Amino acid sequence: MKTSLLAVRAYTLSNSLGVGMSASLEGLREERSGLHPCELPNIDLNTWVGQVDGLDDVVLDQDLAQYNCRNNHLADLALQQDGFIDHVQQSIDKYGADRIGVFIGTSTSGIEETEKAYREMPPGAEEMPDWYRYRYTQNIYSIADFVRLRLGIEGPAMAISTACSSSAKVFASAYRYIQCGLIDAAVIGGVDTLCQTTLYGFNSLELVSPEPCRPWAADRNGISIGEAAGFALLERDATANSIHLLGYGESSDAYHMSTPHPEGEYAVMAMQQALSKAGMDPQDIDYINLHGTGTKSNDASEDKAIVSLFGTDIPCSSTKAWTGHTLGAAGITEALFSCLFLEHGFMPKSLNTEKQDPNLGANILLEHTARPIQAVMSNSFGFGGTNCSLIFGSLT
Amino acid sequence: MKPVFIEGIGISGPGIENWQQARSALLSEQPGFDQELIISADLSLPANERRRASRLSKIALQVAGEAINSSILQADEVATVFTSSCGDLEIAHKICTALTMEAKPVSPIQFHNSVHNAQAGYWAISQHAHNVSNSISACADSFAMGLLEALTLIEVEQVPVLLVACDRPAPVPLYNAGMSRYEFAVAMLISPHRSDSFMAVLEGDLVAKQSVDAAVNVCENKALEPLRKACPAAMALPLLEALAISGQHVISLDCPGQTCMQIKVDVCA
Repeated sequence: MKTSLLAVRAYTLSNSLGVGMSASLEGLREERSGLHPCELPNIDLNTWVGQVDGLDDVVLDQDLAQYNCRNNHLADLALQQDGFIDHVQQSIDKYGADRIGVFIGTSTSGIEETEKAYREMPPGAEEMPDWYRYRYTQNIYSIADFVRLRLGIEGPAMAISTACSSSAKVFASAYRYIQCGLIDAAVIGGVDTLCQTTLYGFNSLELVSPEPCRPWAADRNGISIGEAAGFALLERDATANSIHLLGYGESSDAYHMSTPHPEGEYAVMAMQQALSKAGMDPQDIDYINLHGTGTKSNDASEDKAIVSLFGTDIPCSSTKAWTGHTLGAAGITEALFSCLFLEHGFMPKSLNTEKQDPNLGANILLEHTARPIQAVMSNSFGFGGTNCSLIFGSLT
Repeated sequence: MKPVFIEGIGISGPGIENWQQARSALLSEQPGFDQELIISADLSLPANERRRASRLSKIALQVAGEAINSSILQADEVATVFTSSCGDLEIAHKICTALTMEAKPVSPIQFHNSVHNAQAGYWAISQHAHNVSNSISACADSFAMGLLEALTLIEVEQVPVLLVACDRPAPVPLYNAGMSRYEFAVAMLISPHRSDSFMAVLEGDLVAKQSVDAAVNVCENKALEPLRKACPAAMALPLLEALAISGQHVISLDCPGQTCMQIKVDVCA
């Protein structure tokens, strides 16, 4: 008997596959990748990116104008999809605006505004340009504050910023707040947008692929970076068809700032904790959505972890070649993909992984597989050695 | 929320070297905030990481180490919450400066140090600590939300939590845009269980802002106010001031939206 930690009452996703849930579902089903050669202004790198179209055209409400930046534009656009705002309003009406919390993951928030200001300033300038608003753009909390104000929520709010596990960990924090009785519902999510800092930063570490990424392939050579936003409304009460958060696990590698533990020992710890929270055994999981970035060391480490805990039969795939690695939004993107797969009964293939690395043992899906599934694990790992595993499922 | 126990404290700031010395500095009319924060602790970092860690990470590790060392707990048995309004803006400054140059020579070390969880990563490496760790920001309310995050972890996961709050000023030209004028960091080791050496009992709750009568955020000692007002991590000062004096205290700290944290502490003599 599975027990729910929280019900996912409503959710929405926007990424390079398109804006709103149906764009993601159709993109995956029709095997259409969101990755394209990078043509962003001010970025001169030979790489592919997952870009969301139309972000420059977004206009924020007048009273939120000081939050103007690409990251908050993407949040604004994404919140307006799939009736998400209406669902949140129903929860506000039911519980009160101060009984809802906001937990948003991001890695770089609105740093693009600071990049812009530095490009514009004369060398040796002692002040930022007049238009620059640090607190409302680059500050890590800007995105959580923007979401809170945009939705009219008056409860506690925070940004979680643990690199590429940020928006997976929002589920665990929201659960704890609700469990402690501090709030009745939570808006959780993640938003990260393309900027020079991440593209040139990952490039400096020689982790960016010149081609679309190929997770688990023998000739994989790095990541493709993408931008995305995803939001979910979590409550205890479920509707008949709700997908539920069943388990979560969080751990630290304590190994290296930008390289995962080679044996994936603490990724295993996070996955085990998630199983234990859910009261499940490894064989109860039907499918794993891998962190699967497409770098040599990330995939090798995660493969060891998966094989040691689950063996080599469990179907796995990485969806990074569909959306790019969306960094601080990767956790929510893939968690909500997992909800989509549960809802629609299918497991996606690992795009671009034409031939699996013979040194890696996990069972990587090379074709879409349609069949009902009851429980999915989603993995997110990040710089600083931060690991988070989530389990979603139906209660039937 | 359920009562929890403060088992250790670490603190570094202008003219503040450690908790022992801070207890008198926090009550002084001339706390000496014109002095520099000094990093003197052995941070237990391997040589590579010691060379690479940013100043904010070293400050965070110094206070975290003091809090652990003043308790009977070991670093690998506690969870961690790192909270910082801004992270280390010196890194953002260096990266954004590099990005204005033709070749855009972003340093790989600066880039991996730029993540908001850099302090958590260095701490975990220095202590071989594998437990759950979170890194958050709530801008001006970062300390209060960090404490609340710690209390939820303690109550639900039944683990001791090391809470670390740290901020430092941004370099020019970001200085005036940033949120902090001082370097300040505090660590509190908080446990669901009482050891023989606990320092105080703490009970925190999230309440409606309008239900709070008492002054919110403010320090009793007015000499602390310039520091508190000019550094988000120093929003811990009203609580630290209470912890320096034995007996019962009630403190209120602002949280986002219409919420406020009410904290009752009973400090051992």
